[in-house]
Formats: sequence, structure tokens, C-alpha cells
Amino acid sequence: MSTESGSPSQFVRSGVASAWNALRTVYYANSVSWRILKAGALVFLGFFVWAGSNILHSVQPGWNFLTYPMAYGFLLILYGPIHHVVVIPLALRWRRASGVRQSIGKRMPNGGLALFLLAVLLLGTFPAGPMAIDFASALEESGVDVAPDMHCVKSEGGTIHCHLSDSAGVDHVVVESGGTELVTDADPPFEFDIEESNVQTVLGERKFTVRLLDEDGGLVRRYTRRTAMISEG
Amino acid sequence: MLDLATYDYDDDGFRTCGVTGLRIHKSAEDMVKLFGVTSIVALAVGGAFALFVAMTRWEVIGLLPPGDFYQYLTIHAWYLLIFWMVFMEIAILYVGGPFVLGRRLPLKRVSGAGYGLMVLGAAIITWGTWTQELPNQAPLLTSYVPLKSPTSFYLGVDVFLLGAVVAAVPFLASIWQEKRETPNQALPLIAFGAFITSIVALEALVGGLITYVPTLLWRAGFLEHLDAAWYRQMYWIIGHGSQQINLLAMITIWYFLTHVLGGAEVASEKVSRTAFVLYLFFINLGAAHHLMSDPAVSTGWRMWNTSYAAYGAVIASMIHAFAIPAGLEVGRRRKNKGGGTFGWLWSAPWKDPGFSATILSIILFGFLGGTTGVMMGQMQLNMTWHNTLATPGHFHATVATGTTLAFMGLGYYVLRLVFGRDWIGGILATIQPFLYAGAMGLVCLMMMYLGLLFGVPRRHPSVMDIPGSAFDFAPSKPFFAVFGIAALLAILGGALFVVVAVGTLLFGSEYDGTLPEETPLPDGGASATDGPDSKAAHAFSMRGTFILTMVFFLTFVVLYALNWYLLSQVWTIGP
Repeated sequence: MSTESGSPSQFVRSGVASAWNALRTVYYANSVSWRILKAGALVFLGFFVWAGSNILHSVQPGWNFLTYPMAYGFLLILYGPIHHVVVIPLALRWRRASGVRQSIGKRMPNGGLALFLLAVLLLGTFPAGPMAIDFASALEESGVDVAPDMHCVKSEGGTIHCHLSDSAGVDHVVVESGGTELVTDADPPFEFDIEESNVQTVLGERKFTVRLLDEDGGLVRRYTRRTAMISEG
Repeated sequence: MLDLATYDYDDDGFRTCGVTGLRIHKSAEDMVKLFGVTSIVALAVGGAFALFVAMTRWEVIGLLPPGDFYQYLTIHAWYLLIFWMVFMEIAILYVGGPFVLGRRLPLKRVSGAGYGLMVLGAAIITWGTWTQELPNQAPLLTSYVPLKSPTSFYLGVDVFLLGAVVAAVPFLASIWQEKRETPNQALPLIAFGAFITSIVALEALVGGLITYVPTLLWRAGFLEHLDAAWYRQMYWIIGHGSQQINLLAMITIWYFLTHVLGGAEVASEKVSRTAFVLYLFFINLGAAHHLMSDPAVSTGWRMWNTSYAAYGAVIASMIHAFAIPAGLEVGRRRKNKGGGTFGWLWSAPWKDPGFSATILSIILFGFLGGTTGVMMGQMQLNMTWHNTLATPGHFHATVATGTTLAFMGLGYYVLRLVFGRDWIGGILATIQPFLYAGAMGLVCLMMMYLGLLFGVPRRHPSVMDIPGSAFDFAPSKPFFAVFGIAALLAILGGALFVVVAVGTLLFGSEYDGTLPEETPLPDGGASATDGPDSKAAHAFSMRGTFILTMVFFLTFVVLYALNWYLLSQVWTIGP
């Protein structure tokens, strides 16, 4: 360390003071472009902190401290732009006035920040509403995944025999080819036969579609099979 | 259109730009106008189709039926990822070559032929896509074999790619002529960047022809079979390579516009040139991440491309990420444009849409596009990104914010310095880059969240009701709402650019040559340190840039750690 820089502690102090001044300058930068830039940056930071905390909390539900960064990010999206587009410009204008306005102008930025932090503490302690998103619940709360295998074999006589590996969650099965319904099977375990000669050529290939439907007629699964690809059994 | 300019030329066809000091020949200027305006037309068409795509994916609106979605998405992708970009990139080559070197454009007829082929190719692609019927599929950008698209589509792609190669020839000829005349003199940095861009471009375009000519022959019935794995590997030479052209062209513009508009200097010529050379060797290997989920490539191939080679490209990006703001800081400190840590930054001409578009391009590309590109380009992290909406989120951050904003910035100054017309719209021109950048940035962020946090797939018109599936994307609806609203605002911001550009061309008054800063040096600022009284660039403080770079690194580290952490939660390792 050179003598011009003083002692290490002076160096650190001047570095911290310089950083603090730089931060204050950014904080009070008040041209229209900079207000927009700061507001935009805080919206992005807010989204990042909010979503990042939520996703971490979803995989580590025991980390309850994450509700505070969650609340910080969530409120920052809303309040960050207001603070830099409205509060600070207004405060700087009122500081140049006199009386009550000047007094309010001097306290408004810190007051706004204090209210903001209070809201963060409250919302972090009592997380509610759209602030908390449980990414893990989507899978757990939804219905059963119905995905049975469908096996088909072709006999020498040109009959195609198909069956499902599992019929749970399926009410009936409809087989179609080229817009024509070939078979409707409402009896579990859903084994059915179709004649290859009845399978129509669609887009250059003979193929048929098997639709698994639930009791309301809603589509559960759909399979398309090309006859050329079905092995002979 | 070529007569819309307000400038006069001397008997040799040259004029000297009153702002940049560049000696510009009419032949080069004419073609820059032609390619530049055509690219803006492509932006307008692609942007209009963005409305249909975004309003379909926002399922509350659900604008298009599933049958039409892919077709509209195809037009959107080709017009914005290819036509808007490549037409503008040819213009950039002519700026970086003949403009900067003070030469006439050699082989102007070849340039015209290239332009004609590109327009013809674009028209055939559009027609082929728009009129396709079963058994053909809308090709989107990838047109993966063996899915069949119209024969005319493949023909159009070949014609377009050939046109782009032909249009690049006059630029290469100008570099050749320059080096023949001054063999011992280095190219100016902007010309050097454009030259590296052209090499990467030729790699991509020739790779595209090697891919699409056999594909055309296959579709036309001359080849019976085309291997799908071969196609995918070859396709990504052009598929991702075309986007690497964007990257290099964009960075060249960053150097150019921060100098012309903000008074930036080149902090270190050698370092910046080295970074361009690193791109030359490593950037195209970044395409490998598209094949990470394919069975056909070996583990060694994956590891080499997504780690070792990727580092070469990432180091280059890091160098530019420091060098460009550092150059701006040094240049402005030298001119006493603001003291303190960040005075140089907020005294900058933020009301100038050319400048603000450039800086917003740098910021958004770095924070959103660059970081995510590095993460999803890794072999392991790619597993959580692949084929989710986060992938389009990434490339919208690179192309739709980074490159598009840089091209918009350049477009503003093509209007002023090439057409000699001042912008109409006043405040509208000033706010346009902020509106577009902010909204488009949010669109990208939402796409990444939807893809990464919810696993929402890309390319599907609807995901809220997948029959029989345990997947339920309903919790993602609020994010889709932000996405949809931000997309509308972004399209409005993009449309505003087109309105200002076309309005300026038709109704703009003569540009008087004033800039927010003093006249820059025609060599890009490299000679600022040549004079006897000048101080070397590195003698100026770059502490503001250092702090900004540290903020960037910190963000990068947090994002990186978070992505790896999430990946580690996907599978439980051990008993």
C-alpha cells in the first residue's frame, strides 16, 4: 500500500464511502431515461427474486425464511417502479419548495422505503395470495396418469388383434380409419379385432387410430398404428 | 427508394459523412439502403405474425386453431430469425467493409443478383409455407426430415441461402482489394469484426446449402432416403449458425454505435480482436446443444462441444462484455463527460434512440440471453431446458432483444446518415427502444419461467388441457397473462419502430448532422491514443465498468448455481 493511499483501514473506509456515494447517485439519478432504466431493472430483479425464492421453496418446503425474499421480490415488482418513477422525482421537486412540502420531500423516499420494508415483513410473515406459488403441487394434486400400452398383432388372415395393458381410467375405446368408425369397445379389458382390408390409406399409408375415452366422452389417450409396422403373431 | 437520400456525391461517386468522417461511395450506400429497408419490411411482416403466435399461446385468447398455429409460427420464425436478420447483416457487411474502408462496392451487379435471389427465395418460402397442404407439414425453422414440407419450401431455402452467399461476395472482394493495396496495415476493428462475421456467415450458409440441397432432392423424389440423424446434425450448422451471424454482427454494431454516438474508444485493440478470433473458432460449436437429447452423437462429442469448446466462445463474450462498456467509459472520461463512478454513464445521450437501443441491447443480451445461453448450452443443464418454452425464451432474449435492438439502433442511424433524413415522431422515437426492450425482456423472462419452472413445452398451441396426462399447467396461468400483455406491448414497440422508420423515409426532414456528442473518429477510436499529448486508454479509470461487470458476474453465478441446484432436485441419487 502506498503512503498516498494511507493506512489499509483508510483505504477500506474511502472505498466504502465511494461505493456509498456511487449508490446514492444511482438512487437519486432523475432524468426520464434513468427513471425508466431503474424502474425496469427493479421489475426484473423483483421477478427474479420472487420466482427464484418460490421455486427453491417448492423443493425445500422447510426453508420458511424464503417467504421473505419471496415477499421482497413480489412487492418490488409492484413498488420498485413507483418509487423511482413517482416518489423520488416528486420528493426532489418538493425539496426545492418550502414549508410542509419541503419537509415531506425530505422524508418521502425514506418513508416510502420504510413502508415497503414493513410490507415485506408482513407479507413474508403471513404469505398469502399470488405471492406464494407451489410449483410442486401441480403434479401431486392432479388426476391419475392414464397411459396404458397398446399391443397389436396381425394374423395370416389379415385380422389385427389389439389389447390394452391396463384399462383403469378408460370407459370405452373407439377405433377409426380415414374418418370411418371401425369398432367401438365398451367392455374392459378392451381387446378388439379389426380387418386389415377395412383399414384405409391416409397420406399414403394404411393406418388406424384408437381413441381411449373416459365416461364423459373426454379423450384420455390416442394411438395411431400403421398396418405395415404391425408384426405378425 | 434509392433516391430518397438527401446527399450529393462528387464526380467519383464519393461523399464524406459529416458525422462519422467516413468516405462513402454511392454504390455501397445504394445497396445498404436496399438491404436495410428490405430487412425492416421483413421485421414488419414477422412482427405482425408474432401477434397471432403470442395470442394463441396465451390461451385465454387462443387466437388460432391448432391446425393454423404451426403455419403462422413458421412465417413468424422465418421472417424474424432469418429475413430480418440476414438482409440487415448484408447491409452491415457493406457498412463494415466499403463504408469503413472508404471504398466503392466492388461487383455491384453481383450484390444486386444476391439481393434478387434472396428476395426470390424469401417469396418462395412464404408461398410454399402459406399454401402447404397435407401430406406436407408447415416446416417451422427446423423442417426435420422425414417430416415432409412442400418441395417449393426447400427450393426457396436453397435460393435464399445461395443469394446470401452471393451478396457476401462483394464485401469479401472489398477486403481482398484493401489487403492487396495495404498488405501491412491491419483492418480497422469494425471492418475486422465484419470480416469475422462474414466467415462465420459463410460457414453457416454453405452448411445450409449442404443440408438443404440434398433435402430438396429427397423431397422432389430424386433421393429415396435421407438419414434423420445426418439431417439434424447438418441442419444445425445453418439453424444455429445463422444466429451466430447475428451475434457477431450485433457486437460489431455495439463497437460502432457506442463509438459514433457515445464517444467510446477501443480500450484494447488486441484484446477485442482476439475475442473476435475466438468466436471464429468456437462460436459455431455452440450449436451442439440442440443435439444433446439425440441418440446419434457420442459422449465425447457432447463433452467437447458443450464444455471445452464452449469455454472458448464464452471467454470471447466475456471480453466483449467488458471491452465495450470500458471503451465507453474511457472515451467519455477522456472528453470529461461526467466524473465519479458512473457519471460517464448518465451523462450519455439516453434520449437518442440509436444510443439507448444499443445500450439496452447490450444489457438485455448479457443478462437474459448470454447467461441463459451458457447454461442451456451445457450438457447437463440442457436436460431441464430442452424443448421447453424456456428455449424460445433464451433465443428471444438473444435475437428479439439483443440483436433486434442493436439492428434498430443501427436502423435509426441508417435513416440519418445514409438517407440523410431526421426522425419523425420526436418523443415516440425516444421512448420506442425503452418500450420495446422492457416489454420484450418481460416476454423472454416469462417464457423462461414457464419453461423452466413449470415445464411448459414449446411449439404447442395449447397446453392447459392435455388429455389423460397428470401434467397440470394451470398454476402457470398468471405467468401466461404477464407474457401475453408484455407480448402485446412488445409488438406495439416493434410496430412503433417500423412507423418511425417508414415515416422518416417518406416525411422526414433533412438531417442537419448534429449529434449529442462531438464528431467521432472514422477508425472507430483506435487512433485516439496516437497523438503526442494523448493518454493511453488503460490510464483512465474503468471502475464503473468494473462494478457493472461484477454485478453481471454475481447474477451469472446465482443463476448458474440455481439451475444446477434445480437439476440436482430432478433425480434423487443413491438409495
